[in-house]
Amino acid sequence: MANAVIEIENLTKYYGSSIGVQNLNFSVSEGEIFGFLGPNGAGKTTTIRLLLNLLYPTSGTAKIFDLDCVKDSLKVREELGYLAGDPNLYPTLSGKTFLDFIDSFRPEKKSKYRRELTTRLNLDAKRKIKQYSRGNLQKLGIIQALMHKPKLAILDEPSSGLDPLVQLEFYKILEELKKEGKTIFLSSHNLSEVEKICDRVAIIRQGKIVAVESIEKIRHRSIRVAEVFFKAEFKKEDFKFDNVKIIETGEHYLKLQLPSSMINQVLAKLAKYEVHDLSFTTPDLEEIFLQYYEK
Amino acid sequence: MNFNLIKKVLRDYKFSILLFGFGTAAYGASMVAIFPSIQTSANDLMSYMDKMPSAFREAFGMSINSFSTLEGYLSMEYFSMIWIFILVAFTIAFASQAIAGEIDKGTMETLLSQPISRTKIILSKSLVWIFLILLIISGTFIGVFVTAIIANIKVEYLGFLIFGGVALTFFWSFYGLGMFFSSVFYDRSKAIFAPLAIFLAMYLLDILSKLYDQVDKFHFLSLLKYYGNPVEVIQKKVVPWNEVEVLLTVGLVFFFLSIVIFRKKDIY
Repeated sequence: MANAVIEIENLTKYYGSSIGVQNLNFSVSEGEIFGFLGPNGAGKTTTIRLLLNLLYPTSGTAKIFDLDCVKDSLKVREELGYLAGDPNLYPTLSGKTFLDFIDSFRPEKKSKYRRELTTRLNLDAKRKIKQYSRGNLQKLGIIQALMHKPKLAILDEPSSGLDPLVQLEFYKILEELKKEGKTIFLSSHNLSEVEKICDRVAIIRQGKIVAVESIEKIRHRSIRVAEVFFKAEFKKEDFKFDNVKIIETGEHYLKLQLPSSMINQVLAKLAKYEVHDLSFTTPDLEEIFLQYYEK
Repeated sequence: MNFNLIKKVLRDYKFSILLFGFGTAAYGASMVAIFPSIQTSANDLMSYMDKMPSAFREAFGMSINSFSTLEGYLSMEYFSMIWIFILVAFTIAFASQAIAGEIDKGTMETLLSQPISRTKIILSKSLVWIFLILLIISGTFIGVFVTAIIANIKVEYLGFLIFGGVALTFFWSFYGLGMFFSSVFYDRSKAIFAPLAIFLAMYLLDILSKLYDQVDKFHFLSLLKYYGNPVEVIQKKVVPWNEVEVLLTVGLVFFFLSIVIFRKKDIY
């Protein structure tokens, strides 16, 4: 396994008596695109702010590049690019002046990549930030986070506000950075986005990690939906298993929800009947996500 | 210190500094310009003033010098009233923006994701405030001096310089208070209201202390007491070290507290 860029151990944050996040444990490896999935209020932004030392943890530790996110925060931030969930980027400045300002914090890392990003994301940097649309504001936020090619980019809901074409270009940019060995940690509630670009994903619910899996594993471990059309009548009782849920039945029709581990047993039962049509559907991440939330 | 942040904050204040600098200079200049006509009516104005209770005259800084000397006139009409209101307002506005304002607008999140420490943010911004307040004070004095030279009025330059130093320490004490509340609150309006309310309460206490003996024992609580009567500082040309020490200490204590609080503050 590649080196861990982010290591989180028992990380907990309380806001007074209410839980922000509780006992988070996971790590993110070098060169991977890691998705942090959960609905609004689940604790995604709290976790990100703890990583950036914008918040102080109640207990537990978070390390980036093997450096403590609280004690060594300044060193950590030298190699970090960050896009806030709702980027507020000095409205009175022009896009260019703002990027110059951010660039000035890392003078040794100035590169032509900023210009490339501006062109690829199609941003007019000469205009004042207060005149920017939500989409342009997001583009500017992405550029400032990635322009110095950080070892780790932490992006909070990065594609929100981007139109589909720009989103595709953005995913390409992330893939290219990954190929260069950069690590991307992105939070999202856009499931198809995570499915498309992430290697692994952590699912967070009510401040607690529900699962940390590769996208592939999540799909494989997860449920299937089977639809069967029989040529004649069938016995519903034949398909009653502990882990199998009968969703819908008709005279010649059966719809089941089953874990992939039960496929063979269901097929064995089906062999007793003459089947007109049979299909297994792999659920999309949305359904998988709901499955985790129903636990 | 962070030069980039200093440059940015200076850019942010380029228009307001022109407004404050020229505004205070122009107002000071106009006061000097009308002083000769006030001076010719000094005797009439003094006899009118004599009819007022002495405590009232003292409370508003009126003295025999108030109409007969430029220093006395500026002290009563400008440096004890409008001028400190304007400069304290500028100071509180600047301090409230420095931390609470950036948190309120959400820009602090972006700033703190850069490799810059929280202490450096405060120190860099404070350096800008010192530069700007010196610019405004200097602007005021230049306006006064230039108009006085044109109008052929004698000016106590050294006295004005000493008074400028005392005034700087007074504004510093409010800068410390302003930064303290700016580091405590997340909402800029609260960070403005709290030190402004304290200033107004202190201003009232200063006046009441001069009017009523029973209030005078609390006069030490008002920073206006240590600012004193500008005309005395200008004419005596002696630095009131005890007062300066109090003002510097109050400023330093609250400024230090603001650093401690901001370093440990959660940024939402």
